[in-house]
Amino acid sequence: MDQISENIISRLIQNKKYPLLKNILVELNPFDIAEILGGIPQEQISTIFRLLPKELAAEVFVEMDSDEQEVLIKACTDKELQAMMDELYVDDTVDIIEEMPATVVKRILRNISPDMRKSINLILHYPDDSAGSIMTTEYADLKKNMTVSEAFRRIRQTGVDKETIYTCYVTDESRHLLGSVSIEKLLYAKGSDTVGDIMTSDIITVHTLDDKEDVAKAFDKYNLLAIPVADQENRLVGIVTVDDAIDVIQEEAEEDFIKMAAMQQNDEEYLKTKSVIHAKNRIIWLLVLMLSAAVTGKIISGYEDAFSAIPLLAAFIPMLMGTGGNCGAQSSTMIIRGLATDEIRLSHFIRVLFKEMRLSLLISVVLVAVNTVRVLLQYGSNPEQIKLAIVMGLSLICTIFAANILGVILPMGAKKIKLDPAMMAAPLLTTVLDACSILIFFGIASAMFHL
Amino acid sequence: MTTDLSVFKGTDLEGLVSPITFSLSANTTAQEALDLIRSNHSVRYVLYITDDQNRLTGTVKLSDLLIADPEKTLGEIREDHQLITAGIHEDREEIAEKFRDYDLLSLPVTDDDGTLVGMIEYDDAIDILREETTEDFEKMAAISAQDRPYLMTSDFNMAKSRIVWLLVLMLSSIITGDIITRYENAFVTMPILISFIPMLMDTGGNCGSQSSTIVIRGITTKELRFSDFFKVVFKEFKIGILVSAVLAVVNGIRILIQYHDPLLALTIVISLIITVIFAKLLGAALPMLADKIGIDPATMASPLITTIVDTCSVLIYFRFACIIFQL
Repeated sequence: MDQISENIISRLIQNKKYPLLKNILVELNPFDIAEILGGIPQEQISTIFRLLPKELAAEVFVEMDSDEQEVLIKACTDKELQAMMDELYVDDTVDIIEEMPATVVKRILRNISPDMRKSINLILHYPDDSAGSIMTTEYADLKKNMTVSEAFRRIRQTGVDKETIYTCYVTDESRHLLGSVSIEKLLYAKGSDTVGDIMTSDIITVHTLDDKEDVAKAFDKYNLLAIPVADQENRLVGIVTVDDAIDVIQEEAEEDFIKMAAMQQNDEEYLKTKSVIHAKNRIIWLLVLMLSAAVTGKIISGYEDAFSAIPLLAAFIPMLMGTGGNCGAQSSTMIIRGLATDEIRLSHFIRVLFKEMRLSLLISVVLVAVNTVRVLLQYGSNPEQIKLAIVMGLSLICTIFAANILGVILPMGAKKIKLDPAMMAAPLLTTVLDACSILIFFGIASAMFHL
Repeated sequence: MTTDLSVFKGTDLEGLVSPITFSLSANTTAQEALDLIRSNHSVRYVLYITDDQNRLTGTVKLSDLLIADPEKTLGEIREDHQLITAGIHEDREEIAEKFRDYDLLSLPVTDDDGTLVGMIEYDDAIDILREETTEDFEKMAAISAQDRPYLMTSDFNMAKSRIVWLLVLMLSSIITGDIITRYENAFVTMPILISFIPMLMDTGGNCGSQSSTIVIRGITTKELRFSDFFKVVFKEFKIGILVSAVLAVVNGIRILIQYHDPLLALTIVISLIITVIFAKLLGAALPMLADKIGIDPATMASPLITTIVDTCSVLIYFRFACIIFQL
């Protein structure tokens, strides 16, 4: 929505020019209308919402924030609620219900048709991360012995209520899934062909308890519009459509971002969550990592004599730890992301390991060269400083190698033992790395300077 | 009537756009449209209505077409929402956003005159979304963008994409090192001071990384806007206080048990509190400011913020140590 239109609309709302406002709103997309409603004071939402025609209102409702949805539900009569709920698809209704407090849910369930209520209850019973929880029961189904003409007739009669008719599913009397037929095949076929003639029997199916993340990935992999969901007896229970898969993919990515910064998941929006809750989500990992950093500190205190003798050694600790941390972050981020998108698989382990080692070589050459020049320029080039430069260079090389190698081993190792690779990200990696690189650094320094 | 895709050469959308193979006018009936689809052997989920200048004037969903009365014209069954289109010079990220926001199956691409030049389909959109998200992850780890998946990128290109930031950050961490050198007297007298540096730096880094990640993602997903700046910064300040309180207590107790030195505990605790709060504030403020002046907020991520926090926390730490221990 461009700025000019936004201003015009705000002005109309302020001046309560409702007929004019209505004319503008009905031309817009539901998503944009929902955004507008999100920006106005809550008291005005229901007035403006009522301007919209029924079908559009339902589409807008689905796109709105759950807070605003609650306000609207409370503001409308049972009759209005009923009319709107009638227009919604099952999976959208489930999404809305999941965000509402119990009293509102009871009211919604009272005002929807018995069939809808049955479907909703079915979906709500599935575990949160399963295919069953994101599916819809409104799919187009056909019988094997229908002719194509009969199939079209059925589609035209019932298609309006279906989530999608672009893929139709063929079932027998007991609802066993026999195959699917795309709208293309139906359009290109002769009216007298049977559905059985043109359907595909060997199709990708998922089960109600499959992980929704795996289901979403299947969309990406096979370029599908919809995937059928079957129960244990291979009866068709519902379908998952590509728009829901895209939402799942987005959610999973956001979760990974959070995990990789060593935080716990938060369901609510950032600004709506209290500071105390935020703090709780962050503190556990901070405590763990802080106490493990104390280990590194212990190692350093063991080398007190070393840097009493050569104070300059202490000055290099930040650079060593910093570079190690950044390298580790780079490699682990790429590996974790690669594992998440299936670009990298466990079977690639050796390839990836060797790639990171070769990268370590290239990176160390550049960084060590730059650093050595810097040390010699800054501190002079007598034998003591040259020794220092060598100690630094060697430690840097070892640290970079260790960082990149750990960046591969930790995430892939985690995945191997069925842990989430996103936990093996920078924070954890850095802590382990610090201890190693300090050990190596002071080890080499002691050897070089006979401390 | 296949549209010419050469206009996309060199643009961000090259290779993503499919040609339009037949045109439909507002007067075409539903039956005629379906016949055209059949004879052209080209089923699309969204059909585009154009005028005689080939300008896009409306869209029709295939499902609406199938359900409609065969004699109705496309002008009558077309969707009545504002048209969502893409321009030739739009970038992939904007395309992906449109698909996601409007639940599209197909996105028409028009030139500045409104002439229909092609369309992008949903399976490409999924690919773009995945690539853009991967790019976001990489930016936050201080890696410059790459075109190809990890395994298919040459070692040289991969090293190139990592080395730039590594050099920048390495040189800035030298500043931190120089600060330490300036306090040589302090830690030669009290070597124990050095051993707390990793913990200070790590905790500061993790705190900065936590707040910057959450703020960057908030900005990218449009959950947070610059108008929220003060709310966010204040929130992070409160979180910083809560978190640093816990960390300070735990750490203080640990130091007392391990070293029996209350002054040492005090120094560390104060430095820790200041470091944590500062890290959280910086992690929240920098991405938002970057976004405001048009820089990608993801560049203000963990690596950069950590480096800045390190320098400041070491400075504060040694200052306090000198004051408290009169070094």
